[in-house]
Amino acid sequence: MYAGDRILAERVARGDEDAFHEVFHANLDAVRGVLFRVAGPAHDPDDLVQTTFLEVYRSSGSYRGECPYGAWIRGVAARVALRAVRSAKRRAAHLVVVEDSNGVAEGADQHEACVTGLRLRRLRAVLERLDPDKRAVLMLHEVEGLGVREIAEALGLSVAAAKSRLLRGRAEMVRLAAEDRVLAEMLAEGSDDA
Amino acid sequence: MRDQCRRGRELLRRLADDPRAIAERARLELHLAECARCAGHVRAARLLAGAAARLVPPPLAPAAATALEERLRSAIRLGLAARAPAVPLRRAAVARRLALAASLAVLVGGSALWVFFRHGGEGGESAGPPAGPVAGTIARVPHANVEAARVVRVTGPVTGELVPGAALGPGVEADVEAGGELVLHFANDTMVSVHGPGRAVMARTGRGIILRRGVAAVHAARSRPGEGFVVAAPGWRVEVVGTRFVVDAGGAGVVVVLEGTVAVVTEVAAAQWIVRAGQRLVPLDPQAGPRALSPEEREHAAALLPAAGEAARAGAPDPEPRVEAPPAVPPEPAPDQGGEAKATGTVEQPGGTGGASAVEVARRAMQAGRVQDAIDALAQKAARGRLQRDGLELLADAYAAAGRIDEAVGAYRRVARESPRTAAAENALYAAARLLLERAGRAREALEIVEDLRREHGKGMLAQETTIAYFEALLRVDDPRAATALDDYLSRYPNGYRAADALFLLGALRQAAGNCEAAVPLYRRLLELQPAGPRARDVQRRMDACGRMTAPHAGGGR
Repeated sequence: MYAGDRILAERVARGDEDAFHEVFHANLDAVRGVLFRVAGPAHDPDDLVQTTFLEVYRSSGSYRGECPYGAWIRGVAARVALRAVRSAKRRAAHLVVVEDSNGVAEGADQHEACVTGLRLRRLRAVLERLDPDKRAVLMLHEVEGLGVREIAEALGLSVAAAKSRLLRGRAEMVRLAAEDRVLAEMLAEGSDDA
Repeated sequence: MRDQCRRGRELLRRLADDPRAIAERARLELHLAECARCAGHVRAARLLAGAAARLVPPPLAPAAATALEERLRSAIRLGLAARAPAVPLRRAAVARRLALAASLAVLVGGSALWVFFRHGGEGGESAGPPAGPVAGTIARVPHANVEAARVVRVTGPVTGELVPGAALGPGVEADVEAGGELVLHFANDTMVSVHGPGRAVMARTGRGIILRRGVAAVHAARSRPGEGFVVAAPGWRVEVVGTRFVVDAGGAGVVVVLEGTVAVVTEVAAAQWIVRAGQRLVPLDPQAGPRALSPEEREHAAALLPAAGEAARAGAPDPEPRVEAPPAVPPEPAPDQGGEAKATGTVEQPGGTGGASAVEVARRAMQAGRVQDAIDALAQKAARGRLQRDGLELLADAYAAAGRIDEAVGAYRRVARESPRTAAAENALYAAARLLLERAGRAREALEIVEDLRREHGKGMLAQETTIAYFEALLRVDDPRAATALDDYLSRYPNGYRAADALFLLGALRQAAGNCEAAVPLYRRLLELQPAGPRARDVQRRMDACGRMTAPHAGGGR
């Protein structure tokens, strides 16, 4: 289906450096985003990025073009992130406050920036309370837009397991957010200006 | 409070299989409209997911990214054999091709129609027949796996893969050298004869060509409204409702109508004329207006038409086996750059306008699958504002092929900004929207672009595609307007080429809402349109299910 992507993946698998360069730069931000959301900021991001792309290089030959290559790469990133989380044993190890990377706001924007930062921190805390497997599936589906089959393939799960984790993870996220005063306020407002 | 009901859980479970399944999404949407509990849950989940998408790591400095890549390359090289040759990469954005040069379009409805084009070429090349061999070549094969047309006949020696029986996919450029003639047969039985020196690009819809230069004679088969054959060329547009006519687009262009009625629209002046049988029009002449044909003009036009018998014969199945056109890599000209054709009529020299050679380099790089090289060739010029529209479009395509979605969308938007209200703008915006919708899953941004498209190009050449994209985007962002978008499409394009899809989705929507009385007529219309289509069996099953529901003994008082 994604014939062009498949050709690109084949080039990567064959060691075509130009192709790898393209793939690396085209997917770097997305990969970092997945790693950050699934593994958390406590893990060395460079290490995980490097592991992800090495994995992409090694296993691109198995990419069958059934989903966009970028989605497949994000799946690889999620797998790498999950491995990192599991090896860290303790989820609490990366319950770290998310820094607002948008710079210092001024004037009237300062209040909004504070609210945004607070909400993001609370959301991060909620996500950290989820089981890492559920969180990985949830983020791949809700944020990265992958289908359950793609997620199942990426994470080595059965489709039923991926679907179950998605639905349970989503319900849990909503429940935990509703219990959190700051996030409950955001939900009541109906705005995602987190 | 935010928990779902059983039905909602089931719908979400089904949608989880494929978040892009629009029929499932439509069912969920209907359910959400009547179940506050599920609506609250889904809304909360979406809000949280939207916020989660904003949990991003601090940006990586370019130097750090480069260093990271270098480390990776070093690691990889340790295990590498000799570098393998690159494989040509198929280009991603085929939709763009339809209107890339589409300032001139001929939409043909009715029975047998003859359309003529004579176009002086993008670079102002000589209209006179140059010396040299007569030949036809395929210049570019982006999607050779999908057949748009098949070669029926090539007159004169052939140097490329343009041989009888060859299948030409959407986006394929076919060059016909001076004195040559290429006769194509399209799936809807339309016949096109391209006279050299000429170049025609197969349209994505399979019902048209973009005539970049030369003369084309089109015998369009009878078609439903909205499904007419399309011929496009730079500068102006002709919309035709009628039967037999001739268009000669040399210089300022000439439209000669032999039968029926033709509507001519120019992009620049936004003017429109109705040209009737026995009249001619010079569209780009500021004093333009239809006037009566002279006998000589009528005779000249008629002489250029291919033999009617050939069209009729080609309507029958071709005894020769179909041959997929292999990728050919002849030298690629740089259109729209003021070049002059060589004697062979297939290669143009870059002119003095900025960015011409870079565009050519980039085109060749793209053909060879070296997307990054194409980007490198164009990006700097684009940053300095020295890239013309054609180059910008190519750069956007290259970014898209490289998966650099934001940059691709930026480049497409820039094309639209710099050529507002043109077919190129329409095309670029559409490409950006599809990219966001299909490759990035960023439906909300796609929706904004599609709304711009509908506002600015509501009657453009991609109006049908835009309407469908609008519907898809609405569904993905759970916008309640999605429910009416299908109705809009079907009322505007009752026989449009996506009508079958729309009928199916609308039928499924109605059926999911328990309204079989409304669903069944839609299914019936679909079966009339495509009695043996891919959905026929499913539709029949759905109609049977509806029948059971509404049967007196089964449905009771429903």
